[in-house]
Amino acid sequence: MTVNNLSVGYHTRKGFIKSVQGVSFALDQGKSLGLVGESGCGKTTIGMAIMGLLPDNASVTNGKILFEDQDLLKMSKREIRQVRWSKIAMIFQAAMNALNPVHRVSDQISEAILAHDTDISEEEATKQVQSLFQLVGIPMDRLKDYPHHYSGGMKQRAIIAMALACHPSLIIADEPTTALDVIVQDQILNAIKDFQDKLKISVIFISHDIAVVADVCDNIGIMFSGQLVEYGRVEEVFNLPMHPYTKSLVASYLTLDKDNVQLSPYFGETPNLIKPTAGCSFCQRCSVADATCRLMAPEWIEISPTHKVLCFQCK
Amino acid sequence: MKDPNKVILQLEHISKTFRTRASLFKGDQKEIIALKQVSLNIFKGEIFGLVGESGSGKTTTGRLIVKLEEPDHGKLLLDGNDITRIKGKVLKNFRRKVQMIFQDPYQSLNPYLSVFDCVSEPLVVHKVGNSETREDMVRQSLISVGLDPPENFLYRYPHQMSGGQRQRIAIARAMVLKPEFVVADEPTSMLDASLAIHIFNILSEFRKKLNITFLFITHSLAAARYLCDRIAVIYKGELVEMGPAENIIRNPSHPYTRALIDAHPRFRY
Repeated sequence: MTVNNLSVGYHTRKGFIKSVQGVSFALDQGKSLGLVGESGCGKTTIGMAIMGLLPDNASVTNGKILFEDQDLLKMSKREIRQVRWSKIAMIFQAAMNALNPVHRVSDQISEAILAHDTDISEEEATKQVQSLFQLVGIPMDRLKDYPHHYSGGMKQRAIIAMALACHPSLIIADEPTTALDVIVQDQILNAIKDFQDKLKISVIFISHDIAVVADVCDNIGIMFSGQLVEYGRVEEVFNLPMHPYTKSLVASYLTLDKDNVQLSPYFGETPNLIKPTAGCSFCQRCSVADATCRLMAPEWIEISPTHKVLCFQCK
Repeated sequence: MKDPNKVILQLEHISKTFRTRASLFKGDQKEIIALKQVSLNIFKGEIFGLVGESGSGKTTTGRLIVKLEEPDHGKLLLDGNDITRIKGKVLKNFRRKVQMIFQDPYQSLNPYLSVFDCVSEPLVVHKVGNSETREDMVRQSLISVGLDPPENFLYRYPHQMSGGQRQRIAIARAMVLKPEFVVADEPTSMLDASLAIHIFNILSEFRKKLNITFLFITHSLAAARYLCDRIAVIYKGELVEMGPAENIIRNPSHPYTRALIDAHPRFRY
Protein backbone atom coordinates (compact mmCIF):
# COMPACT_ATOMS: atom_id res chain seq x y z
CA MET A 1 0.00 0.00 0.00
CA THR A 2 1.28 3.46 -0.91
CA VAL A 3 -0.06 6.87 -0.02
CA ASN A 4 1.11 9.57 -2.39
CA ASN A 5 1.00 13.27 -1.65
CA LEU A 6 -2.37 12.99 0.09
CA SER A 7 -4.15 16.22 0.99
CA VAL A 8 -7.49 16.31 2.75
CA GLY A 9 -9.49 19.27 3.98
CA TYR A 10 -12.75 20.01 5.75
CA HIS A 11 -15.24 22.66 4.64
CA THR A 12 -16.42 24.58 7.68
CA ARG A 13 -18.23 27.84 8.21
CA LYS A 14 -14.96 29.53 9.05
CA GLY A 15 -13.23 28.34 5.91
CA PHE A 16 -11.45 25.37 4.43
CA ILE A 17 -9.31 23.56 6.98
CA LYS A 18 -6.28 21.91 5.41
CA SER A 19 -6.18 18.99 7.74
CA VAL A 20 -3.71 16.78 5.85
CA GLN A 21 -1.15 18.37 3.55
CA GLY A 22 0.90 16.33 1.11
CA VAL A 23 1.45 13.17 3.13
CA SER A 24 3.29 10.28 1.45
CA PHE A 25 4.34 6.92 2.82
CA ALA A 26 4.59 3.29 1.77
CA LEU A 27 3.75 0.17 3.73
CA ASP A 28 4.90 -3.32 2.73
CA GLN A 29 2.79 -6.42 3.31
CA GLY A 30 3.13 -7.68 6.86
CA LYS A 31 4.84 -4.53 8.12
CA SER A 32 3.56 -1.93 10.52
CA LEU A 33 3.64 1.83 10.42
CA GLY A 34 3.00 4.15 13.34
CA LEU A 35 1.55 7.62 12.88
CA VAL A 36 2.26 9.82 15.87
CA GLY A 37 1.22 13.37 16.59
CA GLU A 38 -0.88 15.53 18.87
CA SER A 39 -4.65 15.73 18.60
CA GLY A 40 -5.79 17.63 15.53
CA CYS A 41 -2.65 16.88 13.51
CA GLY A 42 -4.56 14.88 10.92
CA LYS A 43 -3.61 11.32 11.83
CA THR A 44 -7.17 10.05 12.18
CA THR A 45 -8.14 11.88 8.96
CA ILE A 46 -5.56 9.80 7.09
CA GLY A 47 -7.05 6.62 8.53
CA MET A 48 -10.55 7.68 7.58
CA ALA A 49 -9.43 8.62 4.05
CA ILE A 50 -7.93 5.15 3.57
CA MET A 51 -11.15 3.55 4.82
CA GLY A 52 -13.26 5.80 2.59
CA LEU A 53 -15.14 6.95 5.68
CA LEU A 54 -14.49 10.69 5.55
CA PRO A 55 -17.51 12.77 6.59
CA ASP A 56 -19.52 14.68 3.98
CA ASN A 57 -17.82 18.01 4.58
CA ALA A 58 -14.37 16.58 3.88
CA SER A 59 -12.76 16.53 0.48
CA VAL A 60 -9.57 15.01 -0.84
CA THR A 61 -7.86 17.80 -2.77
CA ASN A 62 -4.86 15.90 -4.00
CA GLY A 63 -3.03 12.61 -3.95
CA LYS A 64 -3.47 8.89 -4.38
CA ILE A 65 -3.99 5.97 -2.05
CA LEU A 66 -2.77 2.89 -3.87
CA PHE A 67 -3.80 -0.41 -2.33
CA GLU A 68 -2.91 -3.60 -4.19
CA ASP A 69 -2.37 -1.44 -7.33
CA GLN A 70 -5.76 0.21 -7.19
CA ASP A 71 -6.41 3.83 -6.30
CA LEU A 72 -8.90 3.74 -3.43
CA LEU A 73 -9.82 7.37 -4.03
CA LYS A 74 -11.00 6.66 -7.60
CA MET A 75 -13.29 3.82 -6.57
CA SER A 76 -17.04 4.15 -6.53
CA LYS A 77 -18.87 3.81 -3.23
CA ARG A 78 -19.84 0.31 -4.19
CA GLU A 79 -16.34 -0.78 -5.08
CA ILE A 80 -14.94 0.62 -1.89
CA ARG A 81 -17.52 -1.29 0.09
CA GLN A 82 -16.10 -4.50 -1.36
CA VAL A 83 -12.65 -3.56 -0.12
CA ARG A 84 -13.61 -2.06 3.22
CA TRP A 85 -13.70 -4.56 6.05
CA SER A 86 -12.85 -7.54 3.81
CA LYS A 87 -9.41 -6.19 2.85
CA ILE A 88 -8.94 -3.10 4.98
CA ALA A 89 -10.36 -3.08 8.48
CA MET A 90 -10.26 -0.54 11.25
CA ILE A 91 -10.01 -0.75 15.03
CA PHE A 92 -11.75 2.35 16.25
CA GLN A 93 -10.90 4.68 19.07
CA ALA A 94 -13.26 4.37 22.05
CA ALA A 95 -14.24 0.75 21.63
CA MET A 96 -16.90 1.07 24.27
CA ASN A 97 -19.02 3.01 21.83
CA ALA A 98 -18.25 0.97 18.73
CA LEU A 99 -20.30 -2.07 19.73
CA ASN A 100 -24.06 -2.18 19.41
CA PRO A 101 -25.45 -2.47 22.95
CA VAL A 102 -28.58 -4.42 22.03
CA HIS A 103 -26.92 -7.34 20.22
CA ARG A 104 -24.83 -10.15 21.61
CA VAL A 105 -21.12 -9.67 20.89
CA SER A 106 -20.77 -12.96 19.00
CA ASP A 107 -23.78 -12.12 16.83
CA GLN A 108 -22.30 -8.78 15.87
CA ILE A 109 -19.08 -10.39 14.72
CA SER A 110 -20.72 -13.24 12.83
CA GLU A 111 -22.98 -10.67 11.18
CA ALA A 112 -19.88 -8.95 9.80
CA ILE A 113 -18.60 -12.29 8.49
CA LEU A 114 -21.93 -13.20 6.90
CA ALA A 115 -22.34 -9.79 5.28
CA HIS A 116 -19.09 -10.18 3.37
CA ASP A 117 -19.10 -13.87 2.63
CA THR A 118 -22.46 -15.06 1.38
CA ASP A 119 -21.36 -18.67 0.84
CA ILE A 120 -20.72 -19.31 4.48
CA SER A 121 -23.30 -20.94 6.76
CA GLU A 122 -24.26 -19.47 10.08
CA GLU A 123 -22.70 -22.38 11.92
CA GLU A 124 -19.38 -21.90 10.19
CA ALA A 125 -19.51 -18.20 10.98
CA THR A 126 -20.01 -19.02 14.66
CA LYS A 127 -17.03 -21.36 14.51
CA GLN A 128 -14.92 -18.60 13.02
CA VAL A 129 -16.02 -16.26 15.79
CA GLN A 130 -14.90 -18.84 18.33
CA SER A 131 -11.44 -19.07 16.82
CA LEU A 132 -11.23 -15.27 16.65
CA PHE A 133 -12.10 -15.04 20.34
CA GLN A 134 -9.37 -17.54 21.06
CA LEU A 135 -6.90 -15.48 19.07
CA VAL A 136 -7.64 -12.24 20.92
CA GLY A 137 -8.02 -13.96 24.28
CA ILE A 138 -11.69 -13.70 25.24
CA PRO A 139 -12.94 -16.73 27.20
CA MET A 140 -15.42 -18.91 25.27
CA ASP A 141 -18.13 -18.65 27.91
CA ARG A 142 -18.39 -14.93 27.23
CA LEU A 143 -19.44 -15.45 23.59
CA LYS A 144 -23.12 -14.93 24.22
CA ASP A 145 -22.74 -11.90 26.47
CA TYR A 146 -23.90 -8.40 25.65
CA PRO A 147 -21.35 -5.57 25.36
CA HIS A 148 -22.28 -4.12 28.76
CA HIS A 149 -21.20 -7.37 30.41
CA TYR A 150 -17.69 -6.79 29.11
CA SER A 151 -14.94 -4.72 30.71
CA GLY A 152 -13.23 -1.99 28.66
CA GLY A 153 -10.35 -4.27 27.75
CA MET A 154 -12.65 -7.09 26.66
CA LYS A 155 -14.67 -4.74 24.46
CA GLN A 156 -11.44 -3.61 22.85
CA ARG A 157 -10.54 -7.25 22.23
CA ALA A 158 -13.96 -7.87 20.70
CA ILE A 159 -13.40 -4.90 18.38
CA ILE A 160 -10.06 -6.37 17.36
CA ALA A 161 -11.74 -9.73 16.71
CA MET A 162 -14.29 -7.95 14.55
CA ALA A 163 -11.58 -6.19 12.56
CA LEU A 164 -9.91 -9.56 11.95
CA ALA A 165 -13.19 -11.30 11.05
CA CYS A 166 -12.94 -11.02 7.26
CA HIS A 167 -9.19 -11.76 7.00
CA PRO A 168 -8.12 -8.28 5.95
CA SER A 169 -4.61 -7.64 4.66
CA LEU A 170 -4.45 -4.20 6.26
CA ILE A 171 -5.70 -3.04 9.65
CA ILE A 172 -5.85 0.57 10.74
CA ALA A 173 -5.71 0.81 14.51
CA ASP A 174 -6.77 4.27 15.66
CA GLU A 175 -5.66 4.85 19.28
CA PRO A 176 -6.75 1.32 20.26
CA THR A 177 -5.46 1.58 23.82
CA THR A 178 -5.94 5.23 24.73
CA ALA A 179 -8.92 4.71 27.02
CA LEU A 180 -7.39 1.73 28.82
CA ASP A 181 -5.07 1.44 31.78
CA VAL A 182 -1.51 0.19 31.44
CA ILE A 183 -2.06 -3.45 32.32
CA VAL A 184 -4.88 -3.86 29.82
CA GLN A 185 -2.94 -1.77 27.29
CA ASP A 186 -0.04 -4.16 27.59
CA GLN A 187 -2.35 -7.14 26.94
CA ILE A 188 -3.98 -5.49 23.91
CA LEU A 189 -0.64 -4.53 22.38
CA ASN A 190 0.54 -8.12 22.81
CA ALA A 191 -2.67 -9.35 21.15
CA ILE A 192 -2.03 -7.03 18.19
CA LYS A 193 1.62 -8.09 17.87
CA ASP A 194 0.49 -11.68 18.09
CA PHE A 195 -2.04 -11.61 15.26
CA GLN A 196 0.33 -9.55 13.16
CA ASP A 197 2.96 -12.25 13.57
CA LYS A 198 0.60 -15.14 12.92
CA LEU A 199 -1.48 -13.72 10.10
CA LYS A 200 1.08 -11.41 8.41
CA ILE A 201 -1.30 -8.49 8.38
CA SER A 202 -0.07 -4.96 7.71
CA VAL A 203 -0.98 -2.47 10.42
CA ILE A 204 -1.20 1.30 10.48
CA PHE A 205 -1.05 2.27 14.11
CA ILE A 206 -2.34 5.71 15.02
CA SER A 207 -1.38 6.96 18.47
CA HIS A 208 -0.08 9.90 20.43
CA ASP A 209 1.98 7.66 22.68
CA ILE A 210 5.46 7.20 21.25
CA ALA A 211 6.29 4.29 23.52
CA VAL A 212 3.30 2.33 22.24
CA VAL A 213 4.35 2.93 18.64
CA ALA A 214 7.99 2.15 19.40
CA ASP A 215 6.82 -1.13 20.88
CA VAL A 216 4.63 -2.28 17.99
CA CYS A 217 5.85 -0.70 14.73
CA ASP A 218 8.61 -1.13 12.15
CA ASN A 219 8.32 2.36 10.67
CA ILE A 220 7.14 5.59 12.13
CA GLY A 221 5.81 8.85 10.74
CA ILE A 222 5.77 11.88 13.05
CA MET A 223 3.00 14.30 12.13
CA PHE A 224 2.60 17.94 12.96
CA SER A 225 -0.28 20.14 11.78
CA GLY A 226 -1.25 17.96 8.84
CA GLN A 227 2.24 17.19 7.58
CA LEU A 228 4.65 14.38 8.07
CA VAL A 229 7.74 16.01 9.55
CA GLU A 230 9.91 12.96 10.12
CA TYR A 231 9.70 9.46 8.75
CA GLY A 232 11.82 6.37 9.04
CA ARG A 233 12.59 3.12 10.78
CA VAL A 234 11.58 3.21 14.44
CA GLU A 235 15.11 2.57 15.77
CA GLU A 236 16.62 5.25 13.58
CA VAL A 237 14.03 7.91 14.36
CA PHE A 238 14.14 7.38 18.11
CA ASN A 239 17.87 6.80 18.41
CA LEU A 240 18.60 9.93 16.41
CA PRO A 241 15.53 12.17 16.40
CA MET A 242 16.19 15.06 14.02
CA HIS A 243 13.11 17.26 13.87
CA PRO A 244 12.72 19.62 16.86
CA TYR A 245 9.16 18.33 17.29
CA THR A 246 10.29 14.70 17.45
CA LYS A 247 12.97 15.72 19.91
CA SER A 248 10.37 17.40 22.12
CA LEU A 249 8.15 14.31 21.97
CA VAL A 250 11.01 12.06 23.00
CA ALA A 251 12.10 14.50 25.72
CA SER A 252 8.64 14.85 27.22
CA TYR A 253 8.04 11.13 27.51
CA LEU A 254 7.67 10.10 31.15
CA THR A 255 9.58 6.93 31.90
CA LEU A 256 9.95 4.81 34.98
CA ASP A 257 13.52 3.69 34.42
CA LYS A 258 15.33 6.98 33.82
CA ASP A 259 15.96 9.70 36.40
CA ASN A 260 13.07 11.97 37.25
CA VAL A 261 13.89 15.43 35.92
CA GLN A 262 11.86 18.57 35.52
CA LEU A 263 10.72 18.82 31.89
CA SER A 264 9.79 21.91 29.96
CA PRO A 265 8.21 20.81 26.71
CA TYR A 266 7.91 23.17 23.76
CA PHE A 267 4.49 24.48 24.07
CA GLY A 268 2.20 26.52 21.89
CA GLU A 269 -1.21 26.53 20.38
CA THR A 270 -1.94 24.42 17.33
CA PRO A 271 -1.18 26.38 14.15
CA ASN A 272 -4.02 27.84 12.11
CA LEU A 273 -4.87 25.29 9.43
CA ILE A 274 -7.18 27.58 7.49
CA LYS A 275 -4.41 30.02 6.61
CA PRO A 276 -1.15 28.13 7.11
CA THR A 277 1.98 30.27 7.32
CA ALA A 278 4.33 30.44 4.36
CA GLY A 279 7.20 28.91 6.28
CA CYS A 280 7.53 25.83 8.44
CA SER A 281 4.40 25.12 10.49
CA PHE A 282 6.45 24.28 13.58
CA CYS A 283 8.14 27.73 13.59
CA GLN A 284 6.20 29.21 16.51
CA ARG A 285 7.18 26.45 18.90
CA CYS A 286 10.66 25.84 17.54
CA SER A 287 13.73 26.89 19.51
CA VAL A 288 16.12 26.70 16.56
CA ALA A 289 14.00 28.40 13.86
CA ASP A 290 15.55 31.28 11.93
CA ALA A 291 14.35 33.70 9.22
CA THR A 292 14.45 31.07 6.46
CA CYS A 293 12.17 28.81 8.47
CA ARG A 294 9.58 31.55 8.80
CA LEU A 295 9.51 32.42 5.10
CA MET A 296 10.05 29.22 3.16
CA ALA A 297 8.42 25.85 3.29
CA PRO A 298 10.96 23.24 4.44
CA GLU A 299 12.12 20.42 2.21
CA TRP A 300 12.81 16.76 2.91
CA ILE A 301 16.35 15.95 3.93
CA GLU A 302 17.56 12.39 3.78
CA ILE A 303 19.44 11.29 6.88
CA SER A 304 19.76 7.72 5.64
CA PRO A 305 17.90 5.76 2.94
CA THR A 306 15.35 4.81 5.62
CA HIS A 307 15.15 8.04 7.59
CA LYS A 308 14.13 11.51 6.40
CA VAL A 309 13.13 14.78 7.98
CA LEU A 310 11.28 17.93 6.91
CA CYS A 311 13.39 20.68 8.44
CA PHE A 312 15.86 23.35 7.29
CA GLN A 313 17.92 23.12 10.41
CA CYS A 314 18.84 19.47 9.92
CA LYS A 315 21.19 19.90 6.98
CA MET B 1 6.32 22.79 50.12
CA LYS B 2 5.53 19.63 52.00
CA ASP B 3 5.30 20.12 55.73
CA PRO B 4 5.72 16.72 57.42
CA ASN B 5 4.45 18.07 60.72
CA LYS B 6 1.07 19.22 59.53
CA VAL B 7 -1.52 16.74 58.34
CA ILE B 8 -4.18 18.54 56.30
CA LEU B 9 -6.39 15.63 55.36
CA GLN B 10 -7.01 12.35 57.15
CA LEU B 11 -8.97 9.35 55.95
CA GLU B 12 -9.69 6.88 58.76
CA HIS B 13 -10.92 3.42 57.83
CA ILE B 14 -13.13 4.67 55.00
CA SER B 15 -15.43 2.07 53.41
CA LYS B 16 -17.91 2.59 50.64
CA THR B 17 -20.26 0.11 49.02
CA PHE B 18 -22.49 0.81 46.05
CA ARG B 19 -25.72 -1.11 45.60
CA THR B 20 -27.22 -1.74 42.21
CA ARG B 21 -30.94 -1.28 41.99
CA ALA B 22 -32.88 -4.51 42.13
CA SER B 23 -33.86 -5.52 38.64
CA LEU B 24 -37.52 -5.89 37.79
CA PHE B 25 -37.08 -9.50 36.69
CA LYS B 26 -34.35 -10.79 38.91
CA GLY B 27 -35.06 -9.39 42.32
CA ASP B 28 -31.48 -9.57 43.55
CA GLN B 29 -29.47 -6.57 44.58
CA LYS B 30 -25.77 -6.60 43.91
CA GLU B 31 -23.24 -5.01 46.18
CA ILE B 32 -20.10 -3.50 44.76
CA ILE B 33 -17.42 -2.77 47.30
CA ALA B 34 -15.64 0.36 46.11
CA LEU B 35 -13.43 1.03 49.13
CA LYS B 36 -12.39 -1.22 52.00
CA GLN B 37 -10.95 0.33 55.17
CA VAL B 38 -8.88 2.97 53.42
CA SER B 39 -6.72 5.06 55.75
CA LEU B 40 -4.27 7.72 54.71
CA ASN B 41 -2.82 11.06 55.78
CA ILE B 42 -1.97 13.86 53.39
CA PHE B 43 0.44 16.57 54.55
CA LYS B 44 0.07 20.28 53.99
CA GLY B 45 1.69 21.41 50.73
CA GLU B 46 2.27 17.94 49.37
CA ILE B 47 1.25 16.44 46.05
CA PHE B 48 -0.05 12.99 46.85
CA GLY B 49 -0.58 10.49 44.03
CA LEU B 50 -3.28 7.84 44.07
CA VAL B 51 -2.56 5.24 41.41
CA GLY B 52 -4.70 2.34 40.27
CA GLU B 53 -6.47 0.75 37.33
CA SER B 54 -9.99 1.62 36.25
CA GLY B 55 -12.50 0.36 38.80
CA SER B 56 -9.98 0.29 41.64
CA GLY B 57 -11.79 2.95 43.66
CA LYS B 58 -9.47 5.86 43.06
CA THR B 59 -12.16 8.19 41.68
CA THR B 60 -14.52 7.19 44.51
CA THR B 61 -11.83 8.25 46.99
CA GLY B 62 -11.60 11.63 45.28
CA ARG B 63 -15.37 12.08 45.25
CA LEU B 64 -15.58 11.19 48.95
CA ILE B 65 -12.97 13.80 49.80
CA VAL B 66 -14.78 16.62 47.98
CA LYS B 67 -18.03 15.33 49.50
CA LEU B 68 -19.79 14.31 46.34
CA GLU B 69 -20.27 10.94 48.09
CA GLU B 70 -20.60 9.92 51.71
CA PRO B 71 -18.70 7.00 53.19
CA ASP B 72 -20.59 4.08 54.80
CA HIS B 73 -18.01 3.75 57.54
CA GLY B 74 -15.00 5.69 58.69
CA LYS B 75 -14.05 9.29 59.25
CA LEU B 76 -12.74 12.17 57.13
CA LEU B 77 -10.85 15.00 58.79
CA LEU B 78 -9.71 18.28 57.25
CA ASP B 79 -7.35 20.35 59.39
CA GLY B 80 -8.30 18.13 62.30
CA ASN B 81 -12.04 18.85 61.97
CA ASP B 82 -14.42 16.00 61.32
CA ILE B 83 -16.05 16.60 57.93
CA THR B 84 -17.67 13.19 57.48
CA ARG B 85 -21.26 14.34 57.83
CA ILE B 86 -21.15 18.13 57.55
CA LYS B 87 -24.14 19.97 56.09
CA GLY B 88 -25.44 23.47 55.34
CA LYS B 89 -23.20 26.44 56.07
CA VAL B 90 -20.29 24.33 57.23
CA LEU B 91 -20.43 22.35 53.99
CA LYS B 92 -20.54 25.52 51.90
CA ASN B 93 -17.54 26.89 53.73
CA PHE B 94 -15.80 23.56 53.16
CA ARG B 95 -16.48 23.74 49.42
CA ARG B 96 -14.63 27.03 49.30
CA LYS B 97 -11.52 25.39 50.64
CA VAL B 98 -11.62 22.15 48.70
CA GLN B 99 -11.91 22.01 44.92
CA MET B 100 -11.84 19.36 42.25
CA ILE B 101 -10.48 19.18 38.70
CA PHE B 102 -12.32 16.57 36.64
CA GLN B 103 -11.01 14.15 34.06
CA ASP B 104 -12.80 15.18 30.91
CA PRO B 105 -12.74 18.89 30.03
CA TYR B 106 -15.22 18.15 27.23
CA GLN B 107 -17.85 17.24 29.81
CA SER B 108 -16.93 19.22 32.90
CA LEU B 109 -17.45 22.72 31.45
CA ASN B 110 -20.93 24.13 30.95
CA PRO B 111 -21.21 24.81 27.21
CA TYR B 112 -23.52 27.79 27.81
CA LEU B 113 -21.06 29.70 29.98
CA SER B 114 -18.31 31.90 28.57
CA VAL B 115 -14.86 31.55 30.08
CA PHE B 116 -15.45 34.64 32.21
CA ASP B 117 -18.80 33.36 33.54
CA CYS B 118 -17.37 29.93 34.16
CA VAL B 119 -14.27 31.05 36.06
CA SER B 120 -16.10 33.78 38.01
CA GLU B 121 -18.99 31.53 39.03
CA PRO B 122 -17.27 30.19 42.19
CA LEU B 123 -16.56 33.81 43.23
CA VAL B 124 -20.22 34.72 42.80
CA VAL B 125 -21.43 31.63 44.66
CA HIS B 126 -19.16 32.33 47.61
CA LYS B 127 -19.73 36.11 47.45
CA VAL B 128 -16.06 36.92 47.03
CA GLY B 129 -15.26 40.45 45.82
CA ASN B 130 -17.47 42.71 43.69
CA SER B 131 -17.98 42.87 39.94
CA GLU B 132 -14.74 44.83 39.38
CA THR B 133 -12.41 42.88 41.59
CA ARG B 134 -13.87 39.64 40.26
CA GLU B 135 -12.80 40.43 36.71
CA ASP B 136 -9.32 41.07 37.97
CA MET B 137 -9.27 37.77 39.87
CA VAL B 138 -10.46 35.90 36.79
CA ARG B 139 -7.71 37.49 34.69
CA GLN B 140 -5.08 36.57 37.26
CA SER B 141 -6.36 33.02 37.37
CA LEU B 142 -6.22 32.69 33.57
CA ILE B 143 -2.67 34.06 33.46
CA SER B 144 -1.60 31.59 36.13
CA VAL B 145 -2.68 28.65 33.95
CA GLY B 146 -0.84 30.06 30.93
CA LEU B 147 -3.83 31.55 29.08
CA ASP B 148 -2.09 34.83 28.46
CA PRO B 149 -3.24 37.47 27.50
CA PRO B 150 -6.57 36.70 29.20
CA GLU B 151 -8.52 39.11 26.94
CA ASN B 152 -8.18 36.55 24.14
CA PHE B 153 -10.08 33.98 26.16
CA LEU B 154 -12.52 35.80 28.46
CA TYR B 155 -15.48 35.78 26.11
CA ARG B 156 -14.90 32.50 24.35
CA TYR B 157 -17.10 29.46 24.84
CA PRO B 158 -15.86 25.90 25.49
CA HIS B 159 -16.56 24.74 21.93
CA GLN B 160 -14.19 27.41 20.61
CA MET B 161 -11.24 25.96 22.49
CA SER B 162 -8.97 22.95 22.26
CA GLY B 163 -8.90 20.19 24.88
CA GLY B 164 -5.77 21.59 26.50
CA GLN B 165 -7.26 25.07 26.72
CA ARG B 166 -10.47 23.70 28.22
CA GLN B 167 -8.61 21.76 30.87
CA ARG B 168 -6.71 24.91 31.78
CA ILE B 169 -10.04 26.77 32.09
CA ALA B 170 -11.21 24.01 34.45
CA ILE B 171 -8.02 24.46 36.49
CA ALA B 172 -8.43 28.27 36.51
CA ARG B 173 -11.98 27.76 37.82
CA ALA B 174 -10.80 25.44 40.59
CA MET B 175 -7.97 27.80 41.56
CA VAL B 176 -9.77 31.14 41.48
CA LEU B 177 -10.86 30.76 45.11
CA LYS B 178 -7.29 29.94 46.16
CA PRO B 179 -8.37 26.66 47.78
CA GLU B 180 -6.33 24.79 50.37
CA PHE B 181 -6.82 21.36 48.93
CA VAL B 182 -7.44 20.25 45.35
CA VAL B 183 -8.41 16.83 44.06
CA ALA B 184 -7.23 16.41 40.45
CA ASP B 185 -8.88 13.34 38.95
CA GLU B 186 -6.90 12.21 35.90
CA PRO B 187 -6.64 15.79 34.64
CA THR B 188 -4.50 14.83 31.65
CA SER B 189 -5.79 11.46 30.52
CA MET B 190 -7.55 13.12 27.57
CA LEU B 191 -4.50 15.18 26.56
CA ASP B 192 -1.28 14.62 24.60
CA ALA B 193 2.06 13.96 26.28
CA SER B 194 3.63 17.40 25.97
CA LEU B 195 0.37 19.10 27.00
CA ALA B 196 0.11 16.76 29.98
CA ILE B 197 3.55 17.85 31.20
CA HIS B 198 2.54 21.46 30.73
CA ILE B 199 -0.49 20.84 32.98
CA PHE B 200 1.70 19.05 35.57
CA ASN B 201 4.07 22.01 35.60
CA ILE B 202 1.12 24.38 36.15
CA LEU B 203 -0.07 22.32 39.13
CA SER B 204 3.45 22.21 40.58
CA GLU B 205 3.67 25.97 40.21
CA PHE B 206 0.44 26.40 42.22
CA ARG B 207 1.87 24.28 44.98
CA LYS B 208 5.04 26.34 45.05
CA LYS B 209 3.32 29.74 44.99
CA LEU B 210 0.17 29.18 47.03
CA ASN B 211 1.18 26.10 49.01
CA ILE B 212 -1.89 24.24 47.78
CA THR B 213 -2.09 20.55 48.65
CA PHE B 214 -3.05 18.18 45.84
CA LEU B 215 -4.46 14.70 45.62
CA PHE B 216 -3.52 13.61 42.12
CA ILE B 217 -5.50 10.63 40.85
CA THR B 218 -4.04 8.78 37.88
CA HIS B 219 -3.58 5.38 36.30
CA SER B 220 -0.06 6.24 35.17
CA LEU B 221 2.75 5.52 37.60
CA ALA B 222 5.09 7.58 35.43
CA ALA B 223 2.85 10.65 35.71
CA ALA B 224 2.54 10.15 39.47
CA ARG B 225 6.28 9.84 39.79
CA TYR B 226 6.84 13.03 37.80
CA LEU B 227 4.47 15.13 39.88
CA CYS B 228 4.12 13.60 43.33
CA ASP B 229 6.01 13.49 46.61
CA ARG B 230 4.29 10.35 47.81
CA ILE B 231 2.28 7.68 46.02
CA ALA B 232 -0.37 5.25 47.23
CA VAL B 233 -1.28 2.30 45.01
CA ILE B 234 -4.89 1.20 45.23
CA TYR B 235 -6.16 -2.17 44.05
CA LYS B 236 -9.76 -3.39 44.27
CA GLY B 237 -10.65 -0.79 46.87
CA GLU B 238 -7.67 -1.41 49.15
CA LEU B 239 -4.42 0.49 49.51
CA VAL B 240 -1.69 -2.03 48.78
CA GLU B 241 1.36 0.18 49.01
CA MET B 242 2.22 3.71 50.07
CA GLY B 243 5.46 5.66 50.28
CA PRO B 244 7.78 8.23 48.71
CA ALA B 245 7.31 8.22 44.90
CA GLU B 246 10.86 7.27 43.99
CA ASN B 247 10.91 4.41 46.53
CA ILE B 248 7.74 2.87 45.16
CA ILE B 249 9.12 2.88 41.61
CA ARG B 250 12.58 1.62 42.55
CA ASN B 251 11.62 -0.93 45.19
CA PRO B 252 8.01 -1.97 44.79
CA SER B 253 7.08 -4.43 47.48
CA HIS B 254 3.55 -5.42 46.46
CA PRO B 255 3.14 -7.74 43.44
CA TYR B 256 0.43 -5.49 42.00
CA THR B 257 2.74 -2.49 42.01
CA ARG B 258 5.34 -4.62 40.26
CA ALA B 259 2.75 -5.65 37.65
CA LEU B 260 1.94 -1.97 37.05
CA ILE B 261 5.60 -1.15 36.57
CA ASP B 262 6.13 -4.12 34.23
CA ALA B 263 3.12 -3.21 32.09
CA HIS B 264 4.31 0.35 31.63
CA PRO B 265 5.47 0.64 28.01
CA ARG B 266 9.26 0.63 27.81
CA PHE B 267 10.72 3.38 25.72
CA ARG B 268 14.22 2.15 25.18
CA TYR B 269 15.54 5.00 23.07
